[in-house]
Amino acid sequence: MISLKNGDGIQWPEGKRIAVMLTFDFDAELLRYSVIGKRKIGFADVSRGQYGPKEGLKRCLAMLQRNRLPATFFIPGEIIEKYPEQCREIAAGKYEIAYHGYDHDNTIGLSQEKETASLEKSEKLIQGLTGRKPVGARGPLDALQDDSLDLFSQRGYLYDSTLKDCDWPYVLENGLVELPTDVAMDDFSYFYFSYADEAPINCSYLPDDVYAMWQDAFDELAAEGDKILVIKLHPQLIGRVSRINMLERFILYMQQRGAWIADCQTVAQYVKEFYTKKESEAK
Amino acid sequence: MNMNWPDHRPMALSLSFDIDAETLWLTRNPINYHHPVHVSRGRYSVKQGIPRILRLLESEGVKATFFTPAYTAELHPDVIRDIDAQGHEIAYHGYLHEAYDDYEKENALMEKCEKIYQGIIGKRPMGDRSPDGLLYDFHLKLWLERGYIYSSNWRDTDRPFIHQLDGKPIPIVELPKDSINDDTSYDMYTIQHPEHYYLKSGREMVQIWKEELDGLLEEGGYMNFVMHPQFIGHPGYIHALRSFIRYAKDHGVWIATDEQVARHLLAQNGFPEYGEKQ
Repeated sequence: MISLKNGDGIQWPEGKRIAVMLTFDFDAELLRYSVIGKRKIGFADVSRGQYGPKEGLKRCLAMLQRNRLPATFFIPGEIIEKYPEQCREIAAGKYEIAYHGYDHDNTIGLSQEKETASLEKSEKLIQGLTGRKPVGARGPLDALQDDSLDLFSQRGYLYDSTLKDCDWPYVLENGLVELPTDVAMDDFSYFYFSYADEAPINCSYLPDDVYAMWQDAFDELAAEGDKILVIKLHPQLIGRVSRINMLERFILYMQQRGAWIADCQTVAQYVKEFYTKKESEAK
Repeated sequence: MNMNWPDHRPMALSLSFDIDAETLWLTRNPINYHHPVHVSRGRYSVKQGIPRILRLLESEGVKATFFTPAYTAELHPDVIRDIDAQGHEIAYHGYLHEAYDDYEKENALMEKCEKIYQGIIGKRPMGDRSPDGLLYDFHLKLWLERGYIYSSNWRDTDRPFIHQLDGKPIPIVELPKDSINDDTSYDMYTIQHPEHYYLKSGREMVQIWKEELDGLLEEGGYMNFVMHPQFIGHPGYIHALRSFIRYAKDHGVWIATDEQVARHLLAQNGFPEYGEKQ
């Protein structure tokens, strides 16, 4: 018998096969600054980043609204200052808004004081939008520091969604729920295009090919029954009309096959309660 | 070179995995020691990839070889024990995914690693797939002295062959491989400077493998693989790997561990005393 576990045996509400989270990292041009780690980038790159607030976000919100779907938006504090109107629209749709750094830069090497300052500043900005502090965090640029997760937990966060160590949700020792992500379920891996780096990143996949890759991953996870699927999206990338249409078809596919689509906070809360109950029953 | 496969099967293949886990990231860039997200990608190997792969191998009824850095074995002994208990093979792959260009240092490294595997599963490795493809002139002699019976390093042929030292055949079989059968050519994504690797789909990956298999089937050849559980263990790629294993089974391919293939070939090529252990 194989003794290594392949999952934690979590059961989803109403017999659903898998918890799916639609997450949007609304980074605009900050994404492009931080990918190459420079404060100065060319006009073309800035403009590509601004496709998010100017065009892509509208399509994302319209798609969510016509399908009555919940979603989580990870928004850097600086974006709330720069694009208040767009952020108010997200908040007006009652979508969850979560922490994603202040300036979206990689935090590795940043002093704890500075990371705390960035958290404080961004939390206030989020509170200004939604009336409450964020309960979730995702490290900007797919990075965390060694103590970032403890820092989130100390500040009362419920969950993080940055790590990539498995396909099931779990509770960290510090009490934080981790909702792991996967580079293969990130639109960045397929649609980020830029000549700004020394080595250009020039991805422009056929939407149908991405659909097929996501479909295979979804089918496998749904068959296992105790997994999550965090889909990581950027309005500046997925917001192209050909891609948002693909995403919409993929969402319908998942809904037909037992997906429980919820925002990260709802799933994290469910996970925490499920494991707490399971633990107390074991005692 | 005699290559008669058991039960008159038309060809053989070995499903081989390299469990580099965390070492893949730690040895790439020292920044990663303090990059929990990259380390977590490596940990996916032992936490999710291998548990999923073991279930796939069990349900398909096939055995595989896991080339394991001894550091990974030390860090995750329960994983190595489970792999061994399932009847799969653990083979040599450095300590921290490294190989030395100095005979004495490499000899000491191999001894250290062999002891670590011995301590965990009570067995020594019988084959070496050298990390990062680094090999030096002394390796054949070193393997012979240390009792290894196969290597999986050469990339210049589809056919296993018996190695020679000073013009004479020695009881070490080469089980060649190449990047065409290496999952990282398709499923490893990184933009960590200076590397940029993008994804191809699992469907493309196994389409290439199936076309290779079709051709080698006619020639009666052999296929060996390099698969990394931290990448191929992801659901979309497991989906594809399952379809490939079933395709190979449907075509009557002998799916065996590297050690089984090595023993089978040694026995019919002048070294009967190395015949397959049952």
